[in-house]
Amino acid sequence: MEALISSFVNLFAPDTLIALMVGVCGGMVIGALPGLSATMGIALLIPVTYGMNPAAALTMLAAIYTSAIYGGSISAILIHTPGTPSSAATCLDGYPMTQKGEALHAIGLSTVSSCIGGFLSAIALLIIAPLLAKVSLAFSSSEYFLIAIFGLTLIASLAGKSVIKGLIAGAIGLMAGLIGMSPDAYARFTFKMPALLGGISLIPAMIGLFSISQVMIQAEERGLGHSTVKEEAKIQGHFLPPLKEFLGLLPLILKCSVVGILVGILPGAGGDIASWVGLNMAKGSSKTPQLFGTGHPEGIAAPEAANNAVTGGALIPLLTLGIPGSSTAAVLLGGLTIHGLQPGYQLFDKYADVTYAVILGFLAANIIMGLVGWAVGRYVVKVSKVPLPLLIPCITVFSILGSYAASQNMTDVYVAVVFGMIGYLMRKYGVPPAPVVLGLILGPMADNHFYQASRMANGVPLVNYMLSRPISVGIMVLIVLALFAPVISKVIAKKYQAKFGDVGESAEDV
Amino acid sequence: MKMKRILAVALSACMALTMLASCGNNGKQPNSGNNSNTSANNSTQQPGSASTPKTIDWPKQGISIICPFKAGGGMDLSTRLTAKYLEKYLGVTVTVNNVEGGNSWTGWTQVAQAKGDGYTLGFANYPAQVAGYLNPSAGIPFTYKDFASIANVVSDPNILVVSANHSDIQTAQEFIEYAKNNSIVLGTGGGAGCDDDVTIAKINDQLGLSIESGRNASTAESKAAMLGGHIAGVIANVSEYYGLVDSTGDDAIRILCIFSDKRNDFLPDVPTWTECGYDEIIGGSDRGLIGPANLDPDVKALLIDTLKQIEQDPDFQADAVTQGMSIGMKYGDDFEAFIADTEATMTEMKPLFGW
Amino acid sequence: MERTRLQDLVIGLVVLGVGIFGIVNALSMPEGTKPYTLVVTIIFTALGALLTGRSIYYRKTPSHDSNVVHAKEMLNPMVAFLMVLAYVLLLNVVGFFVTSALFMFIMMAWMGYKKIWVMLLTIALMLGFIYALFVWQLHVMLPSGFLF
Repeated sequence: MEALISSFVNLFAPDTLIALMVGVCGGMVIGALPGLSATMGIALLIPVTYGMNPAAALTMLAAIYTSAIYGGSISAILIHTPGTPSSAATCLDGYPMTQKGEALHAIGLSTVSSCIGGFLSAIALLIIAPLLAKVSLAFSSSEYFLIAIFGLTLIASLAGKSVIKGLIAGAIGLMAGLIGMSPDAYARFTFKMPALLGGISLIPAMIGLFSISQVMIQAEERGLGHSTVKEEAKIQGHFLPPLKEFLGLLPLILKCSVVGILVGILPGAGGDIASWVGLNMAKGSSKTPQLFGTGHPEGIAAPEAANNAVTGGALIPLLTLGIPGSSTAAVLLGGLTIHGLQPGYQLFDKYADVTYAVILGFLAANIIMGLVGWAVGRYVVKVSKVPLPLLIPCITVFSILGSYAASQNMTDVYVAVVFGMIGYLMRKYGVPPAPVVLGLILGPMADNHFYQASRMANGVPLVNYMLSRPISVGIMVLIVLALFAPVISKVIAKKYQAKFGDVGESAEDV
Repeated sequence: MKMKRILAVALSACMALTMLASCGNNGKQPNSGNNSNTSANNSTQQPGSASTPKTIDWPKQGISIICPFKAGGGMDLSTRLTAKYLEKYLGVTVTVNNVEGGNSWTGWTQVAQAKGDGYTLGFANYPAQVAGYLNPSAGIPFTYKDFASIANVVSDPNILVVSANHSDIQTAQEFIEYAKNNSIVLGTGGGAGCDDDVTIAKINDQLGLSIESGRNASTAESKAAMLGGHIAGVIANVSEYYGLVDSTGDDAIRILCIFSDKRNDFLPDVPTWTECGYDEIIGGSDRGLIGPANLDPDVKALLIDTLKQIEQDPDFQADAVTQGMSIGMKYGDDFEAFIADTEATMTEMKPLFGW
Repeated sequence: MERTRLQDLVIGLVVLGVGIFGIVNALSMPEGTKPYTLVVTIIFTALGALLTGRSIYYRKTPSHDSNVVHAKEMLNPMVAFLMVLAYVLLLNVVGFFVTSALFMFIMMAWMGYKKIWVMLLTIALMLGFIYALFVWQLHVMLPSGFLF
């Protein structure tokens, strides 16, 4: 307890405070820039922290983490370009809101949800980290494989009008995920090109699918002198959502925060799927599911709460066990090492004052992030009113730069361009590009954990191995429910119909 | 409308500049009293009066070291540590370029194809690089001979670790007994051909066992699997576990032995495999500085000499201790012979990896 | 045949083709890689077959689940795409800053903007920001060619 108090004092040391502010502001900029993800930003700034004291350095990095995840939603909403992989889901309802002139409202929703999600995950980190770490250890490859399968069932819900084409989109993502080194160290579909050995990177593919395709779609407006965004209409709405709307969204935000924390503590799950799971939950429990994709507040609140809640969750296994809960947390591990801090019990024992300072700093960062967002929101939305001919080339340059900067090789840029074409064709055709992203994330996850689980089963048939594990069985039940819930609800509805007369069902085509 | 646009851009530029300015300022702040930090972390000293074997007019401009791994990882930290001290002794800016992609071969290809003037160098890890090109499906057209082996810097030995919460095994001998009677899985920090995988193969070969290698995707995964009781133990490296030795919580572990010719300074109480009564097995991850094959021999000699001085620098040694890196310098021909030896061993093991 | 069904047929056949290529390749892969690869390629092929089949046989209901795509409205986007492609290919030849400046100027003009000084100012601000952030502070090497 004294550690907590002394670190509270530590927090107000000038260098920690500066680090906090720099982290929050810098993180937002990093997140908002297409192509510069939280992971990259932290990775590039670690060397800069060489000369700082550990508490300040780590506070800054943690602040960048949460604030970049929030910042990604800004560009997702304003220009349909996810600033970070975790904000891709926010494009789906964020951009339509901008098109309706409600950009400020959207940014406000995103800020509030991100703030709450991050704050709750920071509380979890502070209070129940050891307990959640135990939960995290109970999961292994068998469970992660099944979680990936569960995640794939989400594809159907993102399919849009045509289920079969949505599934094909997801399958395109899965096929793209095959390229590169398999877990068994075999080079798949690389056609003897070493450049492809690393596979298709997620960020360039996403930049192509969302951002470059958007550039191409906007090119259709060329010479028409106006954009699809209502320039004439004032940017309507206030930043803060009206109280009634906020209270209505609160249960969803809280649920999605819990989801985010859980995804965060599971290292094998990776942080990027949280926003999709959150979105799916929102659609499932919504009274107005048909409004999703047209600019529905729930479509912003859910993914944003979830993806910021991941940040605190990912820090839990990182600090308690030295096992990063997300790829961004993995880079933070490097930050800890450089400053001589070995994660594990030592952080809460020998270095407790540093650790608690960082945790408190992280907590504060989430609040400050909300305040800064509130302050600049009004100005940031003006970006949506920039004339298209000026904006589009800038977005393109940033996208290309972003694809390059992550790994400093041109292959990623070519990937972005190719996926740009794919994304454009898909969107013209009416198939949402989101399932491709899911396939690209979940495919390698399933592949890797299937391989690992087979090795851990070590002779026992894999199915038997999985059935012997209670958590795996639980997830299998979830998968079955997810797959058959629509069917079951239809059967129930038909019985209801038979008893009480026509309920006015609409036909669904395959 | 364009004024507002300019305002928005200016605002973001201001935010960025604030960040930059603060980052610049932070370099001048004093370190807080953390036991392993030294003031050398803040070093921007002028190059010392290094004595060189042959006075050549090099370097005249900044040097770039290509690290084919992402920033923040073990390889990256090793590269940055080396870069920091090369900068101190050579007097020019030494930057680290993280060129990822192609399973680290995009970066190594750039090194192999660089000009021999010494301004583009690289960092490589073994046996990973050798495993990379021995894999037939990968189609890598290079071998170690396409690189100039300047010097090895970090030598991180393999260790055998079990979870204290899930296992009663106290010694390596007990573990081997257990392995003889049960079919077990040992986690690793990488796929087929990584240092941990090779060590497991050597153990199996030496004692006629069939311990399954986990071939996990990363150290974090194998650690999680072990601490959760899903696998019997892991083969890992000293830098990954030395901080957990006294832990009593969920991360409590026992390090049973180390696969090296002598005990490691970070783990003075851990016996070597040989001390446990078996024939010697040396395993671990080695990381060193490389260059293109046509590297100017005078530059190479200068770099080797500089690294010899760096090895003696107490600040360097302190930094290495802070970051948990075991330094195992091998210079020039010794380094090359080591790699050649690694290649020979790995070539024999090809069937074990499915190649 | 109705337009959307024709589009579906083409897509279905392409997917089917790629899928079969994948399956054939997967069959010759080592045992550790084969299972998962086969599952994915088979799923892909099956979906392709389904789509092809539906577009041929399901004559009764026209597919309301996609948009009709006309070549005319794709002309401008394709030009934009070619510009981006040229930009990317020239990055390593000419260098990041010069190529980006050229690309931005040409695209702005093509998109119909007239005020030259605003264009130049925007380009200058953008590239200045990128330089300050990436080159000066973060030490990220940007593509360079014979110009910078």
